[in-house]
Amino acid sequence: MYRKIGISMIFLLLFVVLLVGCGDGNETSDFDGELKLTGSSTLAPTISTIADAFAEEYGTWDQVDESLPEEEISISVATGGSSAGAKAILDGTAHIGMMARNAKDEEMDAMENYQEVKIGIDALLMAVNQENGLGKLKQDLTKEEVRRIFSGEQSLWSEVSGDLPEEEIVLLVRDVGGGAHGVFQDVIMEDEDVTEKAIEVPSMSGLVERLIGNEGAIGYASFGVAEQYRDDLVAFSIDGIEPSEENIISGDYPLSRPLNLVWDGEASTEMQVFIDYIESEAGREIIAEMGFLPME
Amino acid sequence: MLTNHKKEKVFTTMVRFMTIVVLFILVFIIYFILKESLMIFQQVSLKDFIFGREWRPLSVNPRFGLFPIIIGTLSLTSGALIWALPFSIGTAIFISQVCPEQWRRGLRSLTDLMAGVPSVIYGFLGVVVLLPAIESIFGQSSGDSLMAGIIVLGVMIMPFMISIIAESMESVVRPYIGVSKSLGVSKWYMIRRLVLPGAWKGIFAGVVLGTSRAMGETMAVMMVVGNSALIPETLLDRIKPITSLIALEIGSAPVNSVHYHGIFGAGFVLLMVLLLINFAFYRIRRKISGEGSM
Repeated sequence: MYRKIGISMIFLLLFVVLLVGCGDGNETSDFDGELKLTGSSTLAPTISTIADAFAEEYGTWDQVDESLPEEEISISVATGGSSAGAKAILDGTAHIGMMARNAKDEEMDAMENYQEVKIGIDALLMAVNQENGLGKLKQDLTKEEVRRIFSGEQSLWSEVSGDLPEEEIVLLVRDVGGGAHGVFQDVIMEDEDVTEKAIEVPSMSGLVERLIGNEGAIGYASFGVAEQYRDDLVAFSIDGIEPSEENIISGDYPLSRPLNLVWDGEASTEMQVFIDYIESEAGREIIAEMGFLPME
Repeated sequence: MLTNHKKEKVFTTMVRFMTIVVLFILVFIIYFILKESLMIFQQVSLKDFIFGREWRPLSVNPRFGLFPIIIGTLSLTSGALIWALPFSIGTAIFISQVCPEQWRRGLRSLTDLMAGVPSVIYGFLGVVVLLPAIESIFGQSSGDSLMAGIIVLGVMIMPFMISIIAESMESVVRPYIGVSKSLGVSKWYMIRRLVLPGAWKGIFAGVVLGTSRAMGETMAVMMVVGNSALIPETLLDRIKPITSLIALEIGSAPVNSVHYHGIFGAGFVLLMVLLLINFAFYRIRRKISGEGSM
């Protein structure tokens, strides 16, 4: 008899949880003082720094705008990747999504009224170690040259140039689904695949550390991270265009990705005031400090 | 005031409820992963999914072949077991039989401490110490390799295996220790004839636990194996185990995309492989110990 009760309890629980699982989601209508952002791990540290500055400056929401409640400013920043940002908006688990790439069509279509604001640009630099022979040999790579190396067509440095040693080219990439890799894929590789021999490194800082530690490696480094290690790395220009600030902002330098905030529908007052703050002088300063290029 | 009888009843109901909740969580996990992965099998046949040679979820012409990745997980796990098991048995013998009584406790807490070190720390040491070492010893351009993963993973599963094996060795010997000592049997004879054969169940349990731990370990492994989805031919080749695949890609796969379901499919395969291996272990155990006897 106990067994019967046990089994029926399991089914009951299963049923309850399924119901709960279906029911949650859209309950962001009245604002309780906590603004939630989710998404790109590239953007998250920058946004949380700005959020701290914002909370410190105003304290409570009604100080920012009178129509807002007298609640302490609390802004939570969660990471999970750009796609998680779009997903959180769809699920209603965040107010604003952070994306380090342009939204895909299917993501935009899934929302009722997709909205975005571009707060900055992150550029990828093709880089090698200071000791690497290729860096000493030339300053410029064409897309075609980069593609030949990353597709695995050339796997030894000696195949790239006769003056280089007959050693394996160690390719460093981020995970294939990540925003950084998406830009690289679209701009450089186009329809070709990066060879399976490439090493996938879980984080950008990890990738740059590897680059600094390995003479035979080539990889793409984020503009901000590469700036920090300017003395250890050699960054190439692509098709003759230098990865300088002007070139990146003007859009001439091809390997760059936008840093976007996205949401669905009309932005509420609390969202709008925070976005305004991000776009203010104070916010842009922090964006630049974190190694990205803020928008004018 | 509740009578003792009533209290007992409340207590029984409570523990029964807790058990049901725990069981339910397990059922839910399996159900959820299965549900989310079913979609991929509408796009790719199960056979192609498991035996396909290429994992290119985002390519213009997407392919979902897990084979090199499954082989990566299996070779990594078995490699780690092969070197960690003898070390674990040896250490367990030392802790439970050889070392002076007063050291035992200290040594045990040390191995327990080893189990508590966060996996990212093992991974970090792997990147900073092990990879350069492999690069210079084997003249590799990059130290990321199956071998690096095996070494790191072996170290990580050892404390669990040591703990289980040492415990069973202690309990095996306890009833006989007085007799053996009074008969003047040598320690080594006792270990060979009594401890090792008697503790096989513990050793077996250690292997089962070690295997499960090894297959599921993610962070430390991901940092040192290179994550290149190739079938390894030598220990110096790079691999991409299932856990790395999931951890690296799930954050960036749009929800409900084919890629997303493919990743859940990979998780489902991992779960199934684990269940199969555990089932096989269970059968072997039953075979050895004869029907039913525990």
